[in-house]
Amino acid sequence: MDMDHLEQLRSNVLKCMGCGVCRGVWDRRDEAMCPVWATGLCFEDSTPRGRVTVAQDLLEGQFEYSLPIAESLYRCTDCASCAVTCDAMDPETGKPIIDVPGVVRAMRMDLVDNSLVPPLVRDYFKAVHVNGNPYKLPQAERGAWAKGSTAQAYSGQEYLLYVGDVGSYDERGMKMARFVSEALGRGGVDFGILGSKEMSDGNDAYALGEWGLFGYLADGNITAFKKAGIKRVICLDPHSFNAFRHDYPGMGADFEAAHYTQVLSEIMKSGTLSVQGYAARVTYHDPCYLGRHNDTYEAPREILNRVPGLELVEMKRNKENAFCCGGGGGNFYTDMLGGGQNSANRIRAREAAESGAEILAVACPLCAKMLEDGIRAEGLEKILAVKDVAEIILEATGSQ
Amino acid sequence: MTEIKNGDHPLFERMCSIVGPEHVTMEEFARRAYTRAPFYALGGGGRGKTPGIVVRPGTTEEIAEIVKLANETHTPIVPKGGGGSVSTFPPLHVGGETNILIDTHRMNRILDIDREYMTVTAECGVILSQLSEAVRKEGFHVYTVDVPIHMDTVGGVLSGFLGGGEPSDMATCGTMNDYLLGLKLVLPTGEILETGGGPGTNVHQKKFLHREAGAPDITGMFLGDGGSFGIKTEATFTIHPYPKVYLPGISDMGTDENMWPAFNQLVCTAPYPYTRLLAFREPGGPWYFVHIIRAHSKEEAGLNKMTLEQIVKANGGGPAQVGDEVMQIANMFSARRLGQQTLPVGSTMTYFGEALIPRLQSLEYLKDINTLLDETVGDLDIYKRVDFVVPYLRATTITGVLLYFGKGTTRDEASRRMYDKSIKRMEELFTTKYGGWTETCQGESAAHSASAWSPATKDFMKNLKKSLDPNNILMPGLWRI
Repeated sequence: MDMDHLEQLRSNVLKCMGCGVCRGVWDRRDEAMCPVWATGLCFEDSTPRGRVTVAQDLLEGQFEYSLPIAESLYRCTDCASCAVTCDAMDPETGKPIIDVPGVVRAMRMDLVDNSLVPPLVRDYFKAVHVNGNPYKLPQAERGAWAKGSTAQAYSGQEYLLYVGDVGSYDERGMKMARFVSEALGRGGVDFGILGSKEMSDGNDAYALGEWGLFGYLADGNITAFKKAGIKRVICLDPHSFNAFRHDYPGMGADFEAAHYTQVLSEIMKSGTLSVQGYAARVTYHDPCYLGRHNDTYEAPREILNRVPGLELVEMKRNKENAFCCGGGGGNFYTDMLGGGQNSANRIRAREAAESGAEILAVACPLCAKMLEDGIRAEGLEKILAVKDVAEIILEATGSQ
Repeated sequence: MTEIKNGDHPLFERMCSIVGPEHVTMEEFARRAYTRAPFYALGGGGRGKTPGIVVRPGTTEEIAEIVKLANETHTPIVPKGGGGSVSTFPPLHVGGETNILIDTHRMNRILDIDREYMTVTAECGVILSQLSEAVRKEGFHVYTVDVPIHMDTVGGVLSGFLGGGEPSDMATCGTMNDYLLGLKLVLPTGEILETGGGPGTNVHQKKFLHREAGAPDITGMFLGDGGSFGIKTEATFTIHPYPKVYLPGISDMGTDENMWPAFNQLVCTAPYPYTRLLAFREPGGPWYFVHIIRAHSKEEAGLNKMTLEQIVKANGGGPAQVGDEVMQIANMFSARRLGQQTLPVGSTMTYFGEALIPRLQSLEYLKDINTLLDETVGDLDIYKRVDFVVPYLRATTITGVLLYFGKGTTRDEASRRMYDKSIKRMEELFTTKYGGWTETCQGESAAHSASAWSPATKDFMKNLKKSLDPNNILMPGLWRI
């Protein structure tokens, strides 16, 4: 059975000493950090340590890839909490010597190569492959979110605003795309959109191991961007930002990518976008693909801290210790994680409520949707509302 | 690989009816994930026997049902907590391929923190750092082991020899077991027993804070049993106000002639002027003392510091001027970390010959173990080796060598050599020559420890086990007696 991708990480995999700290370190992070482990419903193989053990056994030929292994591996949300919790640090890089998220991705790529993916994952791949998006909606509707907004088609503006699948097709995501578009416009940012010419960013396809599909999507976007002369891209979605920043350059991309909070933060620093006030206690949830994967923690906080009257309070787990919403690594679409009462989004909703905040600020359309679901499931709607950072800024300008 | 295939364990259906199908697995890859022990030190290779089925019970009553079913069908049971045992686990000679492995992690609730009587009661699947943080939030401290604090469970540690670690205040405050008041457990026959301060008391008992207050210390019988006498499900510990002042330090102690008298004086001084002390050196280098003083006030800490520094100075030592590498080693020992942060790229670590040794023979033992180390792995690429002596109660130390391997050596290769070439000699050193002990009562090393029991002890243990476990269900053959 093919396991070329895992084989490439053999020396990395064998370095793990199996201590299990990757599941969570209580005195630093207060609770289990791995969202799979936190459900309380998994066996050892679904913990980060267990995944590495499975990888070691595969490399040693103890067993071969199988569908049950795939079902276990696809519960991982690629949140990278195990990567920051691991104590086995490489003093030269300051990073763990074992890249557990990388090992999981390699195994997923092998699973795809061996046609061993669970039905929910297969359905996601098929939908993206056939329709260009996981919602199975027409490509022509990709720009529908912009109807009634001031966003213009890209025609040589300084920036492209790239909204991605959730911003294009999901009701909550579309709402967020409109807020971001309006906030950027009010801040004087010169940007355009690709609408139906935009393709899926492929980030989650890659996280799920479909590197062929990812390559196809990335190639499509890179070609479209080059053809349009796009050099700077603002991302609505940290998932897109992650792919553009880490994975596209190796495929020939030559554009700069920024997350919208980074651009908004600069606008607010420059004073171009003035806000009046916003009397509310707000807590901010760090998206995994903006935070741990891309080390961007301050820009959203700088925006919120510049709003008069807004009191920013932190959840007990924040920044690199932030707990995942459960929507990463493709789980937003496949829901392989599950978890019931201790599903990641419900745990995070409870933490947000415990912070005393009345607004839970987000900077990712997937987090917005996951956390709204979590708040509903916990019955916290009356005391806690999810708003994205751009929406808060617009309300603070008095325009909403 | 075992012969058990998916779906053919004879107890699958009945296990599902007890705990729910989502908490039962027979998948080979899932079962094998439970066979890995960290560090790969003693015990030969580090991978334990693969169980035939894994179950995750959520209550004491569910465990009792599982145990009754195991008795009915004569199926061996292996309870497993955090998987931090340094010895091969599950032991290779325990039970057969149909073994039931009980994963206790679902039982992870802190049941009660009583501020008035200063006790905490928790389920035994709670990880120690979870327990520690729960009481710290209330302003209290619970004595637990150190290094495996983030991985080991309450039940696992109580069943082993302090989980292979030690409390940070071990030498001065005793062991984690000293603070245990009572247990709730499932006996090998499936009955549920609560132990505590005497007749009529139980794990939740508040008034008698001594285990032997009204009866023999039944609780103690289940400590270090390797899970063989019962499956622990709840435990009650005493807790104490959290000492807020933390004062660490490092001293340069030079040669054996300076270090050793100072070490002996410090461990015999009462009250102890430190809460934690260790001595370490690299071969050919000077000895260092690392000390930690914990206190409830700056004044108390200052007095202890003054006493400690006087003893150090009187024996020719003084404040250390050390580089980053020595500080990293010191931090590794003094903090609740695993120490890999000190490693060069690609290397891994293990302990060689770590054992409880009578204090006055510690340096002699260290020479012997270093000679054995040279013979066993001396030709391998060892990036760094560190001799260490840590006080363990008054008469004993924990002594050994910490090895950091260079890029060209794998821990597995070294572990195999240790097992193949030196395990017997280590046993002789541990138990015969020095009358010391290895640090594990669970896993594969339990049999090594039991090999040194006297004939009378072996007979007593056999009879005790037979009486408690007539069908030999729990960890059968753990001690190989």
